[in-house]
Amino acid sequence: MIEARELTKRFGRLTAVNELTFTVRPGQVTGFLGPNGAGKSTTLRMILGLNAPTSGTATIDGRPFRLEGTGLRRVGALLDAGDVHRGRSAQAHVAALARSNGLPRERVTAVLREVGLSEAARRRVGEFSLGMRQRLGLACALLGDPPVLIFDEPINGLDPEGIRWARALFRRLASEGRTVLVSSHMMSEMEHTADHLIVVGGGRLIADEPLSEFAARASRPTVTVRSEDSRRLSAVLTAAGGEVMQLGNGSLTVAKLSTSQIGEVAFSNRIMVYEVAVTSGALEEAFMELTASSVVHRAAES
Amino acid sequence: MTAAQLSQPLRLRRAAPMRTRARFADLYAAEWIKLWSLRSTTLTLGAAVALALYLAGSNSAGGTRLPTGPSGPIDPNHAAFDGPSWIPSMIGVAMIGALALVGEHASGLIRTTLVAIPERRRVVVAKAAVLASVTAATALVAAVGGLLLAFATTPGELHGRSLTNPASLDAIGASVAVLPVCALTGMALGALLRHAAATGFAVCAVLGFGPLLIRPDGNRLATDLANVMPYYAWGRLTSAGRGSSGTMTAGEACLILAAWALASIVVTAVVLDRRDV
Amino acid sequence: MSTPIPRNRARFGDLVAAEWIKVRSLRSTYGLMAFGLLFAVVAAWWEGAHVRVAPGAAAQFNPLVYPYNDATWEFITVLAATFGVLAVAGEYSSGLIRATFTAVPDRRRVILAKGVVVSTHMALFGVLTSLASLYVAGAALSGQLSGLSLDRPDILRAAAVSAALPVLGALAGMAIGALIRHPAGAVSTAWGVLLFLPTLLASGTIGLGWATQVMPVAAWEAISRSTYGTPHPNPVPAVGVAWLLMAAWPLLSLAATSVVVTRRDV
Repeated sequence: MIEARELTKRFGRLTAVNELTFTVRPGQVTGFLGPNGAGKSTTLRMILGLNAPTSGTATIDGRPFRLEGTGLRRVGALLDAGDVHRGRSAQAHVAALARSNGLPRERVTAVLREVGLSEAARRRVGEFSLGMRQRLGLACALLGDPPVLIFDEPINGLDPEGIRWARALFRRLASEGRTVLVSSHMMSEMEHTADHLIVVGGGRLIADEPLSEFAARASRPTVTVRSEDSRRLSAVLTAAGGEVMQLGNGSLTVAKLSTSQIGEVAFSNRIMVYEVAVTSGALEEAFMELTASSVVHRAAES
Repeated sequence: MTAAQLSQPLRLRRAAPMRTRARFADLYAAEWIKLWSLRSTTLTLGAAVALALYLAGSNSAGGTRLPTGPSGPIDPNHAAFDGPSWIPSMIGVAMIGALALVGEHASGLIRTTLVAIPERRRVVVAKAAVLASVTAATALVAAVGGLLLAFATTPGELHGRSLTNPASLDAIGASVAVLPVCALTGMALGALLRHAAATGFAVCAVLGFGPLLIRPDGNRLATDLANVMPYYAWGRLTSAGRGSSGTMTAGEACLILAAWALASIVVTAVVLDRRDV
Repeated sequence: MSTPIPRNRARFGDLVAAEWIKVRSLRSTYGLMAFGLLFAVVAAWWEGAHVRVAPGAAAQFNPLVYPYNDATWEFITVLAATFGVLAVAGEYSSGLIRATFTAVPDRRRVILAKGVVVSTHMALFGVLTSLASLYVAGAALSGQLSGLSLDRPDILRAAAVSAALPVLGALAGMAIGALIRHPAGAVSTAWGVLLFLPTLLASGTIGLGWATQVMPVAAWEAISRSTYGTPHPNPVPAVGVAWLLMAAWPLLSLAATSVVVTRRDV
């Protein structure tokens, strides 16, 4: 169980995390979601005692993490796959961590095999790809068989097979009764993994609820249309009262019109349509709507 | 890889004791693995020993420039513990100490380390212990080897051709102390500066340039400043005529070396304890 | 097409401008130069303020010793070398070098542009530091010694060669940075080559005493004549050779940097 109480972190005049209060419960995968710069990593670092909060508290199983004598048996964490010395072999890196917590040597081989790095164990980490470093980070998190696991953007750089494997891993860990907190800036990633969502934006808590409730928030279902002449279709759909966004490769996203209305408009204007589909990204939509007002690094309008 | 494969290794089979506090021996072993798994450690220590031996040999072989004092036989300590010849070794081990800290910060490894061991001060103490013991062993090899070389190659009459005479023992002891002091100083500078190039610069400035810039033969202030440097404290104990022999006692020299070591550990611990990583 | 077709080869001026932006956008540039200037000023004041000249003995003193103290300028040289090291090794350690060489595949021109920018900065830094040293030492010596003025040809010569010394140091630093690439390793190598190596060589331990004379600081000493008495404790080259060395060091350093960077994978 992870608890944050009015957690606040200021860097000079910038408030990175603002009075964040939430609880992460065992037995489920909790998604920690927010756009870039929302304060996710800072929050995780405060939970792990790496950064000192300006005010408020963060505890793991009721205790501040800094008070622990050994960490790996309590918490496994993957914060940044780059948090490894590039000059060391994977084997040496994991062995040193294991030794520091008094864990048996077989454990090193076991977790490296688990993440599929047995072959590469003797190579220097500097030669690893991003995906391999993510796997190495996951291996370190699993090392102490901990009841609490924290992963910051763990999917970055993994290949499709690796992503499936990682999702299965998170679900499995949760089903074993562990507390699993996975952060991401992409809603689509959470869709397949999380049971519960904590959403932050601009350092503040925006939502803390089960995934199903969160999905129901999407106010506007949208439709994706692919056609031979998307420019003309866009014009006529807008004229018919739709809100249209160009996606490129001839696709449009349309809101405020149903699939049948779109079909009618296209037919009466003699525009060939290849595909009409309701967008399944209701979660994505809800997420975008919720965080829109808090996005720090908003892309410039072009 | 399928989910079915996952279950087995996740559980720690042989229930390892759930330690609420890491044993110091384990922390030491972990830092030991970290130190030796970097190529630069072996290279630097090897180079330090090789250079010290080479310089001791060439110092004694070129015996002409060894000061023989007012009269009497040559002091082999002059060859084996020539001041400038040891500066590269001092800087080398200080760089190892510095990189032990800077490397963790620069790569972000420090976060991984501190999640494993949240008690930061113990990490610092373990790191310091590994650095000190490894560099002390290096110094022992360099000092004894250098002396033996000096015994073997110095032409003419020697003042005490034995490792066990008091002057030799003092010099060996001082060397075994000074390299760890330098390594710990490097560690403290690394903790303060965190930036690789800045730390390298500071290490060279403090341990290498300092003794060249401030010599204990100028005015009172310069002498006092010089005497608190590890280089001159070591020079006093090896009595190799670095001009400071008369300006402090052997006891003061030992105190100065101990103070540097202790202050370095304290600075590193306090700095790391207070910092967001 | 209304947009002009870009040249397929960047103008050298553009490369220099790009390197200029890189150097100027780093805090370390300003910190390093400010630190060097401060160090030189404090050292010049310290040297000057502690001199007691007996009445009528002024002729026996060489006033150049105070603003152009050898330890101070050795330090300035190493500081400049650190600047050069960072300009090259910083790109390697951050991986920026790949982006740079992707943008401009002709590596030699990049190195040359970098050399131009580094030299310009160090020349400016050298002039400032040299003049500041001169005037601060002059002020500290007032009432004791006079004659520290650029009107005298020997003082002018010493001031000029001191202003040039950081350029030598920085270009040597670039070569060391290109060879070693790791910032900490390269910085300590720069110290070793420029400062500890001459000391070791001069002590005759390695038996290559003559080699001291080809080091930048020895050339500088030969030209600036800012030494306590004669004979000089360390061997220095003849003045003509010293001027040659002042020209040879930058050129050879740039050539070495260029060869190393061109030959190696990044």
